[in-house]
Amino acid sequence: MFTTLDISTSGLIAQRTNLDTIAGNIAMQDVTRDENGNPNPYRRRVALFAPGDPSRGQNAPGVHVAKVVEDSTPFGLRWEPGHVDAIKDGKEKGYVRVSNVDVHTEMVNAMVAARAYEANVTVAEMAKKMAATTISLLI
Amino acid sequence: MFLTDVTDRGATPALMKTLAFNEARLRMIAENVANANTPGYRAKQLNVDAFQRALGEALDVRRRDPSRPFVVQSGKEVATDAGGALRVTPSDRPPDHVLFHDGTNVSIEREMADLAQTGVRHELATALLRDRINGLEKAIRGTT
Repeated sequence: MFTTLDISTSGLIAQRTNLDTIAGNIAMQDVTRDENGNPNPYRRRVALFAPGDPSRGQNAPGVHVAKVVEDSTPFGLRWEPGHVDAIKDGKEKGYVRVSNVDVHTEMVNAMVAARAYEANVTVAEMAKKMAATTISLLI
Repeated sequence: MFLTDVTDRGATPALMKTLAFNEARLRMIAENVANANTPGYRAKQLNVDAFQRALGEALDVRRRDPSRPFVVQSGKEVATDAGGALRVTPSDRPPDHVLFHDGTNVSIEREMADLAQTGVRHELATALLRDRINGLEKAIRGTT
């Protein structure tokens, strides 16, 4: 019974991490420079899930975010010659390199994460209900 | 000795096994749901029909010879260990016709339906068990 709750909790944590990553992507979609001020746009990040829950031991069942990786899709280009970070010369002169975040993809992923979170909550509720029914045998 | 005699009679052991099986099934569902978005994860499954058939067979054996231990055995998934406890090991669900683009075959709808079913089965088993316990209590007190 209590293992079930642990498994569902691992699912909740993983989905929240996933949603955090998505929130980061949406928040930084318009970032065109890195922390040093160079014209280096934000790269989209993706949370990678893997089975097992290392926080509870080696073979513990559950799920965890193995790592957050950067999406290698090439950056986009936006025509904006007046922009401070616009490319100064060459074929792409006058364009601004923009991040590879696609808001629509992020919104859909956010919905999937929210639904998966709900599903885990449902299982946890059922685990609680079943435990309560079993315990009621003693009373 | 007397107590085990009383609790090990009739449908009680079958109900206890059902409770243990439901708990294992709930754990399996939790794992499948938690991993619904994990790339390459293969859903786990438990054959409920096979378990119930094995339970029926165990009850039949017990009815013919009450001195035999109550052993439920169904394939690789369900076994009874030396102490009489139920060991449940879910097997990997074979990838049927559809795999999702990330290589998993967890269907959240199926898991939710199984979840509801497990809840109802658990409720039923506990209700029946409570009845048996109440009956025992009445017998002990000698009241109606």
